[in-house]
Amino acid sequence: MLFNSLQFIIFFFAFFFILFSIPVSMRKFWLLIASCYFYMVFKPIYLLILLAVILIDFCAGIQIEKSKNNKRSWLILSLISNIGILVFYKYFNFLNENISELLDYFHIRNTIPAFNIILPIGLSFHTFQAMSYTIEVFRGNQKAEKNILHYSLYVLYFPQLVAGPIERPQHLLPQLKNSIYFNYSNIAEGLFRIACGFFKKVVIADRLSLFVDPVFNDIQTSNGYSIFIAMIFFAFEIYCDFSGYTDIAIGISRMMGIKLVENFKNPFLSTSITEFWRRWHISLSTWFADYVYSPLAIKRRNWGDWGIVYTSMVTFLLIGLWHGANWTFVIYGGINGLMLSFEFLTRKKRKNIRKKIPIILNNIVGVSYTFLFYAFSLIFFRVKEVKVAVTTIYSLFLFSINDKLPKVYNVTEMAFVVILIIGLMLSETFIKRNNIKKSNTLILISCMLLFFSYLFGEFYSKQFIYFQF
Amino acid sequence: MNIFIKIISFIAGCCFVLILMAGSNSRWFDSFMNYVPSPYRYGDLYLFSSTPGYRKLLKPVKLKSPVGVKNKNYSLTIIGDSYLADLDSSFFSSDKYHFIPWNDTPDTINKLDKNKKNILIIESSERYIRWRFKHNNLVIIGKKTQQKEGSEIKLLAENNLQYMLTHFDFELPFKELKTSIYLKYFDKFSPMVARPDGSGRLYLEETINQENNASSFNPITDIEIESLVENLNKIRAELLVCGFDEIYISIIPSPASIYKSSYLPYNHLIERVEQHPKVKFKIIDIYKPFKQEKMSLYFNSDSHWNYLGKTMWLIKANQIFE
Repeated sequence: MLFNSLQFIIFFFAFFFILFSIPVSMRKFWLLIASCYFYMVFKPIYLLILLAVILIDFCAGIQIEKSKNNKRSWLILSLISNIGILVFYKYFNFLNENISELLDYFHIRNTIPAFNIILPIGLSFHTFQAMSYTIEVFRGNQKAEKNILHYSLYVLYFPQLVAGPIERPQHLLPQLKNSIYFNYSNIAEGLFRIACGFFKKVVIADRLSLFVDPVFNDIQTSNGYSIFIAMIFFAFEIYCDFSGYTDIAIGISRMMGIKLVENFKNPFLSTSITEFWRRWHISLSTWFADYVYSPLAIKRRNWGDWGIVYTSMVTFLLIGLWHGANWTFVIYGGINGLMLSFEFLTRKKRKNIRKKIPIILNNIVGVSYTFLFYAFSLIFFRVKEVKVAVTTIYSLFLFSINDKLPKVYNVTEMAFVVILIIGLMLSETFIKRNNIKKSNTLILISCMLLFFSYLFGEFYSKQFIYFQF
Repeated sequence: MNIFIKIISFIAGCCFVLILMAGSNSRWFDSFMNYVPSPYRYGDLYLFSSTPGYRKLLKPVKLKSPVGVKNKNYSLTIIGDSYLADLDSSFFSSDKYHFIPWNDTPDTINKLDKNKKNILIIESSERYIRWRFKHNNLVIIGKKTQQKEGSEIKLLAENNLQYMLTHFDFELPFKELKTSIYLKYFDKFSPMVARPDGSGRLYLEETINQENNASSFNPITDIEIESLVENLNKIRAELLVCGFDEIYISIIPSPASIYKSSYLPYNHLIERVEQHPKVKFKIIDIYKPFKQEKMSLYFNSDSHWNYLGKTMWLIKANQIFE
């Protein structure tokens, strides 16, 4: 179910009206039923897979805590079941295809057929969330959950089920154990956050996609100037799309008194790629930092700086692969990892140079370089084949100011788009959401935002980009 | 929250659950549609575009049948589209009447009554002629709608909900406001409807756009006309073998052909087909009478004919049985 669909709006009202009218003791059951329905709208049968994994992880958690000698075995069982499903649904065909190509090279025929599999929605998100539970129990940072309802909610919780933020058990589970009460200020704050997310998605992201999609879908006939503008716009599109989804997820949770982690902190104002990844998709980067980067860095600490480079590269290649079973995503992760490594290795020299340059200039150069580099890396994220990415980059460098842009926007709409982007950046930098204390004011602003979204929004139920992961 | 608010809230929640269910269940959806106003009540062109100034109710006028006495010797079959879909046997002088929509299976063709004179009228709106008779068989007939799966069902549910919930009168001023803003500032309008030209009448974009071959103003060569006629002749021959005694073709002019042909270069498709020397089929010609008629024959905010247009066609069609 898409957050920007009418189906979701009806679901939203049905859910909240019933939630706050039934006894408090039944509310969590209702939340679980609603979450199951939300997931089943996509493909009902996949709920069974999810329930099976929930059961395995739930039992594994208890056994890890209980047993003294078999802790690791239970953890491995849990990880295998989670990663196994992830690999089967997401990476099987990719691996099989690559093995076939490799075998072809040696004139050997691969007899394993490709499967026609539909990827369960949000698989990478809830699998990672489930894995973090058993790992944390194994590490002793989290007590094993004894209540299956609470654990099921931890994995199935519908606001963040399909596109995060990827929560940690220490943060989400205690909140899910609390009773759900009606609180007017929570409702107002949640509604405001939902309105912000909805605005970002339908007014900005989907409007930008009107320009971006035709350019990237027909790269052969697109000129360098169009590709350059589309590249810039796509960076904002993906930001508004993903952070818009996160805002809605956070807002819905807030209405129930649950606080989800923030996923973005003005990433486009970062002055380096290292800083950027601390502000972009925070829940994913911290997941990889905790469960991949740190253990690996400790293992390779005797390698010195090159140990960090090695660890960064491995982590970012995996981050790329997490996004999808395609070499383009691996390259997307790889070039970000390379840049991060470069920044790490040149940190002292850059610090010396920065000292000699005024702070404002430093920031302008830093922000511009970070944004342009990330927007460039997104080419690999946006196109579906490495060959197409190469063509895109080649065309991009044939950029000429005389190139004509596709006639998607007239001058007014182009100006509107630019104003929206600037307005977004300014508002996220200078307006702190917590400054508005009065609930009625928040509700009023939310209604205005929603009305404005209706008037200027693009409603063709375009899927959130991160739903595919 | 007090108990009264909780009860109201619970009932409201249940109503939303029912609406949600109705979106994905066709039987519930049909029942639900009995209680909501028809989205087409202001015309299909208004529905597609929400153009301000065109929200005028298409008054449901009970069509008077021009039929006096029934002729027991005739059985009539019509292969047709939405122009004739709502008619029943009382509007025709024939003893029996079957209507086959263009996208349906032609079961009735196999159930012809051999004791009667079987007449077939192939009716098509002008904009579909070049597409429907591109080949020399009725390929469009027999193309059964396939069962939808997976994501298409989701889309269906979303479409159903939009159909059910987004056409209430209180919503329309907001839709019109959005249309005005988009047209005035972003130079954007519904892709299905031609931009209003101040004539007080809306047209389907595809019938106006000179690049579209459904348009009355898209140039058409003599070779293509001849090919269309030959295809129609072959279709006629095949249908005669199936058991029909007479085949008629009736092309319903697009409103643009009647009202816009003074402003744009009309391709005269209907006249060129109907007057082609190789034509072997019979014709129910309404282009000429429609062109001469001073009164409006089509709705201003709908792509179909009004009461008068339909009556004129019925009178012409029933002359077959005289």
